[in-house]
Amino acid sequence: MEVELAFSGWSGIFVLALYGALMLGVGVFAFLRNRGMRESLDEYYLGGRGLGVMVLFFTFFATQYSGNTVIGYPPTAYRMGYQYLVSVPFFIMIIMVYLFFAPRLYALGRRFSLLTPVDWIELRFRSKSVSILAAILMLYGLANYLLEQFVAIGQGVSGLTGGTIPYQVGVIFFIVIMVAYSWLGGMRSVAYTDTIQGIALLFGVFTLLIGSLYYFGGLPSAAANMQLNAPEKLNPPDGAGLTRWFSLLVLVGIGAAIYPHAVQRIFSAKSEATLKRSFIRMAYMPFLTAGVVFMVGIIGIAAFPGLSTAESEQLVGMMANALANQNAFFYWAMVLLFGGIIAAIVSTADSVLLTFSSIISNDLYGRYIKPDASEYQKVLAGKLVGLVAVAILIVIAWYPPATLYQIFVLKFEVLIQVGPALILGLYWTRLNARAVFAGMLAGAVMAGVFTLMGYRPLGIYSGLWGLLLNTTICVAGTLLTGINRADREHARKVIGFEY
Amino acid sequence: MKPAMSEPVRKRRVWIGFIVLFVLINPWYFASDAGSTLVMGIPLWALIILGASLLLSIFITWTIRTQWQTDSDELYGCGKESGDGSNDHRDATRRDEEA
Repeated sequence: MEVELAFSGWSGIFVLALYGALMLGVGVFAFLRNRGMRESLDEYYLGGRGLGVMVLFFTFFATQYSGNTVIGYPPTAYRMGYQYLVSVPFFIMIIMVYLFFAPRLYALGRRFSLLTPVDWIELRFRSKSVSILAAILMLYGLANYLLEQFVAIGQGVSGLTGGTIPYQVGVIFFIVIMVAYSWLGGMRSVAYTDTIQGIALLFGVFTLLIGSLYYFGGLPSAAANMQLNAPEKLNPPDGAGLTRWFSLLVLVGIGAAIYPHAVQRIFSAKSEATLKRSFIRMAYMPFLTAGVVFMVGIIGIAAFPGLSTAESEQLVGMMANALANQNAFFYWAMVLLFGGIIAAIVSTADSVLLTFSSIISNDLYGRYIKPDASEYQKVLAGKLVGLVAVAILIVIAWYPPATLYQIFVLKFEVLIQVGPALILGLYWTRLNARAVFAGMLAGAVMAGVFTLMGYRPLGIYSGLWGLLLNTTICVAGTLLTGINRADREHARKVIGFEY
Repeated sequence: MKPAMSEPVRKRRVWIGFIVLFVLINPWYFASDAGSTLVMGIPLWALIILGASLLLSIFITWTIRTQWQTDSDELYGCGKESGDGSNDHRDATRRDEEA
């Protein structure tokens, strides 16, 4: 999915260097303002539970919208036409799903000072096996997610600079900057840079839309083209298309809401009021982000008709190239757009890396390996293991294994298997640890095997089949085996707020 | 003391609203050739889906504003002072928990 943007060699390098310097500056700023920070897990991983509305909003924004939203969605809209309009409501679904667990999870996070999603699972089930399995699934999913972002950074950088900066140099440059500002300021750096990166991205996609509407003709000419060449792109989906629409709504809604880094952001809100206001803003962002890039893809149908699947992957690059040739304003706007896309990828990657490290610090090292370690040591362990993971992932990104490549593709499918423990556990006191463990394991294995085999019964995604099996085992297992009184009393106390 | 809590998940009207809106954002209720009706170059069915999506956003806003209330902000104020590096509360609750 490499987007060649031959027009911007040195100006691309200039913008990338500027972004890099700006992000590092933010890290130094966060470090200087909060010198005591590295001492504590709360400070490092949650920004001292003090994120305000604006910053919290943009850090949620960065976890949901990545560079892929801008580069990958328009080609899909180009190929599927209006049947891909689902990309707007599925982002709204994420906020809807949040409302089913975030209110209670935030309140519990405050009461019990929860740091990570695994922290909650440990508090609720008091089971080493459940906590460790959840931690492993999350680390595995997060690592693959990070890998995907690294590959995208490299492709984006070499595309933006017309190959002036090779793929490898681009990856290393941004990863070093990302790790540096994350280490300096923890969650605060990540959230502040998310804000800058989000604004850059929004500016870029809007300029792209305005330019496309102006130079390539609006939606009516796209519709005329579709009526003539591919009327099915104008029609609503039916049969398999409808199932796909439905399962995307469910999978993305649940999956993106319970991403570990998304859940962790709930804990970092300064107050309930702050969290609510951020969610309300997020509920309207799909129209401004997914809706805008969807329109760009539709406009592309008339602007660049008849592209093959592989060619259409370059759609955003082609449009940006064409716009940049119009005048100096659009030239720089497109350079900024690509800078914004890379920034968005980096901002998604930094959130993922921070959550990855926090699970190491708090849930593995801090809980099982060395419980008496100081907070400073725990943070350090998380940072170092995170660094090692990054190094391994870079190697994998450069030398992709020829076989079994798909084990590095599993993300959503595996991550959502933590959902039943996370959400059902919030409300159902009987839910027992053994059933949760069996369900989580079975669901993850099923989702993994289905994905590796490319098996998708009834057109429904493998992750959802795993989730279905997982939830069934949780519920049936609990009803069949029951729960001992002490455990139920504990659950009642925790989720009944009677501590 | 059990705090007075209002959670969206416990409200029947929230569930009904979400179910109805979820049904509406799935385009099952259009004729298969509905794409031929265009409004300003956009198929009418797509505008209806976008309208239903906007309704969902508005309903989410209403739910957050009126159906979600816990005592967190009263108990803990509006966040700790940044930068004090303390984590006492966490340890204290955990100790209570053990006891």
